[in-house]
Amino acid sequence: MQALILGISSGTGCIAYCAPVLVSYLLGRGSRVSGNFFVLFQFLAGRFLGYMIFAILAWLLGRTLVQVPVFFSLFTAFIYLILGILLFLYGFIREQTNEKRCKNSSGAIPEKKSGCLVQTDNAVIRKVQDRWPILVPMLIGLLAGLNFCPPFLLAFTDAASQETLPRCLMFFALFFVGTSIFFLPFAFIGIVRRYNILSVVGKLATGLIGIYYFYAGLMLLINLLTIR
Amino acid sequence: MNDLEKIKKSEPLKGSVLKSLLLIIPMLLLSFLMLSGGQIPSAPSKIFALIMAFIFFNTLFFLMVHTGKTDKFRAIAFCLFALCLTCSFISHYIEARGSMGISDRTLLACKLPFCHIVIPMTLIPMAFTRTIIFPGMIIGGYASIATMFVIWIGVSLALGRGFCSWGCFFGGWDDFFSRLTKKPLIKKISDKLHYLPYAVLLLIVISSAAYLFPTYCAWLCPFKTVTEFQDVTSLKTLLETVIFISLFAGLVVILPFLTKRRTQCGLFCPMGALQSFTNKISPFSVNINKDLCVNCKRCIKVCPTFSMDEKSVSKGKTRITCVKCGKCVDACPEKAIFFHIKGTALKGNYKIGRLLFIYPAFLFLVAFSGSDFQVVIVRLINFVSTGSFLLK
Repeated sequence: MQALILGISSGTGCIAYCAPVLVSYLLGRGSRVSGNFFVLFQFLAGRFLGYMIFAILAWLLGRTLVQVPVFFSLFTAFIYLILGILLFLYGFIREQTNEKRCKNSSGAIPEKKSGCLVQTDNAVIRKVQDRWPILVPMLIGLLAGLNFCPPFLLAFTDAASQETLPRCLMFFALFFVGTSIFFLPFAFIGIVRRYNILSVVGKLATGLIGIYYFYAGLMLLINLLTIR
Repeated sequence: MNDLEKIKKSEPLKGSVLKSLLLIIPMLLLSFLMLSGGQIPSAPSKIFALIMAFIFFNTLFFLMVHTGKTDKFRAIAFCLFALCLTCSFISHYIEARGSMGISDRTLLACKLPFCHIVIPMTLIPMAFTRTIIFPGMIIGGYASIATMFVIWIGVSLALGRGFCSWGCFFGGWDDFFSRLTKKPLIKKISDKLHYLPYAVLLLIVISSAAYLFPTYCAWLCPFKTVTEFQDVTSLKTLLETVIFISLFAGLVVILPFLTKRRTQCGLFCPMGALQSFTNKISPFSVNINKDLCVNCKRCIKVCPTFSMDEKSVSKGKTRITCVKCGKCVDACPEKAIFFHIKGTALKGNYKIGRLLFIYPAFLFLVAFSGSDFQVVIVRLINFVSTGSFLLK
């Protein structure tokens, strides 16, 4: 119960850290509200996976003499670098019109079917999206969730004091449920999907925030190297 | 010859000298009021500065009215405004604290001048937390928060995104560099990048609301290069400095030079993106008479903020990002583009519509920039007489 209340009380803090990524990504997709809910659940699934990884780490922390600050910083740095590259690729990869796929019966290309008109030109991303369509939002959720925001650190500290691994996992799972409630309204971004421009803006914003995360990861690494 | 051609032929924008002089009389009176602030200064150097500023602005306005050309004369004042503000600002801060750098002590004192670019970042925190996330003064002092908000609201209602061409004290920099070459060296910029300012706006609004910190000011604003910035005391501040200087060099100097466009304003500035929406409420717009338009695309080539494209020209209007600089109006060989007052007939007297627009726009430019012009003239006089640009 404590974990759930902690999650609910600090959920807005989690949104503050995840919103720039999530809002940009959902806008960039240009999906309907129902589609956005589907993506959101994938995002939350990734986040949940991240939280479970941290639950295991928290439990191990209570039992080892690992140099925690250095380990956390190094881990976070690499997560940020990967997230930054992923978001940058998503935001700024070249798009091209898939005319053959999108032409209607009269041979014209409908302007408003934004999802139809856009196809990634990047072979790697296209392969990933075609074969494992849930992987991209889930990966973004995982990497964005592995974020040492203040509520998360609080939960981490509390979880580290749990006696057994299942209790630690349960603690983080309930914390996750508490924070996730605040993410549900984001799916309603799909209401503005008819404005194709917002999709372009969202993608560009995602690319920009990728640059920020890459920079943040680099700074963490530089700080670590400087300290050592 | 149809009615439109008759209007075009019979009402050239250029008028007689006497008529132009009569038309600028209100500006003479109003500009004097704005420049003097309601009282004549006592120091000889300030009187001289007042006279010079008065002559300068009114000469430009007279030429604007008489020749029918808007952009050329607007740009002279606009670019000089940017230069004068920089000189005035830097001199003031060197006098006050010995450098352009902002120390932590200065930040904590909450006396930083409030710039209009901060406005988008403050709105959500102000609405939800009743906090202004900027270390400035609400009232009093130099460029207080309340003053800037009032000015911004008033100008937005009147001019819309015309603020970016008639008031923004930074826009003159990339406007200047965009005019240095005769032909652009880079002609094509991806259409997708035209939406980048909105992406920057989205990000800085969300991140500022999340972190309760003006993120654009801290990390991205290129104009810190010509005003003030945090002292370099750590790796973080060093990186911040490298970033904003690089952005200034790239977006304000190099790219405008190469493209002959205002790339900072058109491709990056989040305040410009926000200001675009105010074009919807402004009573003025720039329209195209489709009957006169011969689709030469000259307006698309000259527009500094990418506010003209084939789609908008075919609809007879500019895109929402139009900064109302008048460049397309002046460039159109068929006189098909005109300043229009919303709600009035599209096929009316173009001259009246233009006059009704340039009057408030130019007056705002005078009011906003006048004091900086005069300060620089006073400093120049001081430099000539004492060898120092600083007044103290």
